[in-house]
Amino acid sequence: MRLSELKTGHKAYITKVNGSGPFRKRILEMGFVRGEEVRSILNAPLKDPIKYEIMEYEVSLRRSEAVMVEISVLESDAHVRTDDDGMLTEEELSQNGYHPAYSHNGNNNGFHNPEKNIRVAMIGNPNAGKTSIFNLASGAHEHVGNYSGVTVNSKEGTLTHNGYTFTLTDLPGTYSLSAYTPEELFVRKHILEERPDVIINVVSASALERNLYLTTELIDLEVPVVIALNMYDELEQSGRTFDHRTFSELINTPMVPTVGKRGEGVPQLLEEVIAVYRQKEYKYVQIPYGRVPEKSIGIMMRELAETTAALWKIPLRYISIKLLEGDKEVERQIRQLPEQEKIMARRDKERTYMEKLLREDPESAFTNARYGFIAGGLKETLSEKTQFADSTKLIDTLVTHKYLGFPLFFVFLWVMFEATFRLGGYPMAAIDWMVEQLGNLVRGNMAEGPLKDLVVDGIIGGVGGVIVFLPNIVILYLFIAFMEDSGYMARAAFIMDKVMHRIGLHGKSFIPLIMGFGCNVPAIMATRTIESRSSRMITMFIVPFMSCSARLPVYILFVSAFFPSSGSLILLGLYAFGILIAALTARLFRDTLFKEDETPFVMELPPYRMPTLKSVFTHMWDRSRQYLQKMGGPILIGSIIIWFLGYFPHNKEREAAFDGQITQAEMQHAAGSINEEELEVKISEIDHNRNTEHQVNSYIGRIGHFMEPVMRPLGFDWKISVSLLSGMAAKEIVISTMGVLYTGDSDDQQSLQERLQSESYADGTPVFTPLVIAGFLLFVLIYFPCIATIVAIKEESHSWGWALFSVFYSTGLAWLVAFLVFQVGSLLM
Amino acid sequence: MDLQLFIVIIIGIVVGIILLRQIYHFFFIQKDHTRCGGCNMCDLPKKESSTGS
Repeated sequence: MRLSELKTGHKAYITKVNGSGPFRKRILEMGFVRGEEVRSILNAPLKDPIKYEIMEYEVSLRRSEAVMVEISVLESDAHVRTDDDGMLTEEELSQNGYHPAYSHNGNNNGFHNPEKNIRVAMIGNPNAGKTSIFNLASGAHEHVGNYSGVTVNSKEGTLTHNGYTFTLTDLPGTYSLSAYTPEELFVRKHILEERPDVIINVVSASALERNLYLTTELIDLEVPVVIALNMYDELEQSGRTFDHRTFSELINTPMVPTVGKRGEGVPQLLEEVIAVYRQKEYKYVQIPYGRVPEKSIGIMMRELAETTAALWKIPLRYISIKLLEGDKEVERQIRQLPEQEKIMARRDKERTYMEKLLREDPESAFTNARYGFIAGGLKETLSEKTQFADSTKLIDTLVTHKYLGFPLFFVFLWVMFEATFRLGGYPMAAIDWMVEQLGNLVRGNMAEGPLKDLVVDGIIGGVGGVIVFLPNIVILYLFIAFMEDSGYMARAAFIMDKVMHRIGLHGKSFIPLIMGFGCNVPAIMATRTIESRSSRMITMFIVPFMSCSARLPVYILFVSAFFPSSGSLILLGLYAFGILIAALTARLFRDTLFKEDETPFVMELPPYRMPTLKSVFTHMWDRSRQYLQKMGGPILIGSIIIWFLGYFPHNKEREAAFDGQITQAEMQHAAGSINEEELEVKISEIDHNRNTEHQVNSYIGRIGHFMEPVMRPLGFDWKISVSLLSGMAAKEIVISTMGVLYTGDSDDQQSLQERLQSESYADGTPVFTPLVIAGFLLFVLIYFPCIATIVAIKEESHSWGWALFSVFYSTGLAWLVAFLVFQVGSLLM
Repeated sequence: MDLQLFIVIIIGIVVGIILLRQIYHFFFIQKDHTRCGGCNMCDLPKKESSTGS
């Protein structure tokens, strides 16, 4: 029977995992091993993928992948008889190099350091809470979230404790130290090359069995480890008891219960790190792999001992195990040795020997043995659950329901935009009022001159136009933080997998896309968690179509100025259009540029956790700070540059001509040929013409007019064209540019909305018609968000070519869409 | 010279220097790749697949 055939709510036992390569390795490491109980929990709304429970955690698999797993409802079927009749005798084991526990001087391994500076690496499964502990210990504000793969790169922080300086390195989450995914390789490389003094293995206490798999790999690697039993409160709440001291003795590694989000146990953890660091000798246990594997390990160790591999400062036992498992990276290194042929021939012989006797491939044999070792230890120390928290199951039955799942997701998005637009409108109006007052204060009290113009039109007009949207950004991030911290993000990926599958991607790609609503740069970096390069590249190209928070102020500006009554719907429509363009692009790229098959969808679904007020406020504060920093940096610089380009050159003759016209009008008024009201209108007209003439002849006007032939078919005037051009640096600069260019004719400081509403051509027709606004907003949505995003694409794709491709593709598409909207719309209206 | 114009020119020069510095950093300063610690393992599966078969 296949796992895909298991009915919802039923349980069975795994008998065999078929297939090959990364998928098989990944699900083996995630606990899909022979004899393990697995339960089918529910189907996603479109019947695929399916959520399973295994080793007390939840994971989603597609039907096409679940077919690879063979199951039986009878537990006895899962335990096949092999020719491995147990362990070798102690003497035999000793001859093979196996010692249940042995000690050696840390200095020999290069891990011991007598100084008071301790280099600590934090390693653990995804979503085990490494970054929470890292932030608490080092005082950093790194991004945390309740889904796998939040940390995609290493981050360093320092702290002092009891006279010791700790240099903490937070590494990406990984299920094992295999060579299949970039993060696994990166973590292993960090341990072996950077050689941290002590490793903190962060283990989620709520899914001990699976989390301890990585610990067994660290044990094989013979590195000094302290285990942080994180989220220990969840273990206690489930009514379980864990005799961690006994388990700690079994694996000869200290264990400290911690609650990362509250900081409980962190001082004790650091004390243990110091204690381990100060040890002169480390005692390591060895995982017993069974008679047949141990014999092969012993043979391989003897083979390697005669080569330069013995000088690598990596335990020969570890190298032997990895070679027998078929680890590609270790194989690559061995192939560089002069004796490689002999070693590889021996390895192949041993693999065949193991397969013949164990009736399973060595990879499965080692994985099974590791899980067997963990299960044995936990059997004695971990009690059964007595309290079953049904909240996760209850919420999941709603949010992943076949009929309610999608509507609830879109209702959530609608509430997010409604709150961003409506709720944010009140503080926005207040900030807008303050900006106006500041502008009027300077206008009324400063002598006329270029500096006054720079302050009023350049700085207050430019930066002030952007700063008013701070509340909207904060509210948007509040919702994104809730989505990330609660665990709903992973569910969104789960329900969207089938849809993503149709466009050639999988649910995991949906997480960077949702993150893209916040900022495209971290979203592009988050594509690292996607195993397949082709899927990663496609996701990277479609992330910029996810409307980031920098584009939100542009939408809100125009929506509040021209369509205030249907703001949320227009916002939702823009975001939905971005998703549609992303989907079409993904399908197009999958069919043309990246035809490689997509990767399977194996994703852990974490339990729901109520985000703490502290974490939500930290998240919001960090974003607000970043936004304000942007105001003082690129936005301010951009506004000043645009003002300079718009203010210079000054033509004295033209100015004198306009001054002459005003004098003439005043003389007409003095002669009584026009009244006071007519004089005011006339002066206002002359000022308007003076401004227009000046801007047209300024440097920015010339740039705008140079661009105009390309942008005119879209209905855009030169000011819109220049705003879009300056927005290439960052989208907020679109607004600050408009703030500088649309100065208005009023003597009082007007809001930018008012100035845009009153903007008209010489013949009196408004510049911003509904078609122009629609085309403009779609152009802003589609063309690349900022230079930082392009640099991020270059960094992640390791190619300037792909980065430039993204620039041309998105800008070309934006032009085409805006062209169609304007031209087709003009024909119809 | 008008004091306001003088201050504006000074501001212009400062902003110009900042802009040129940013451009220089963008194009000519080698990044230390701290984000992934200089690891180029992402390319490994690609290389393997291209040489594997």
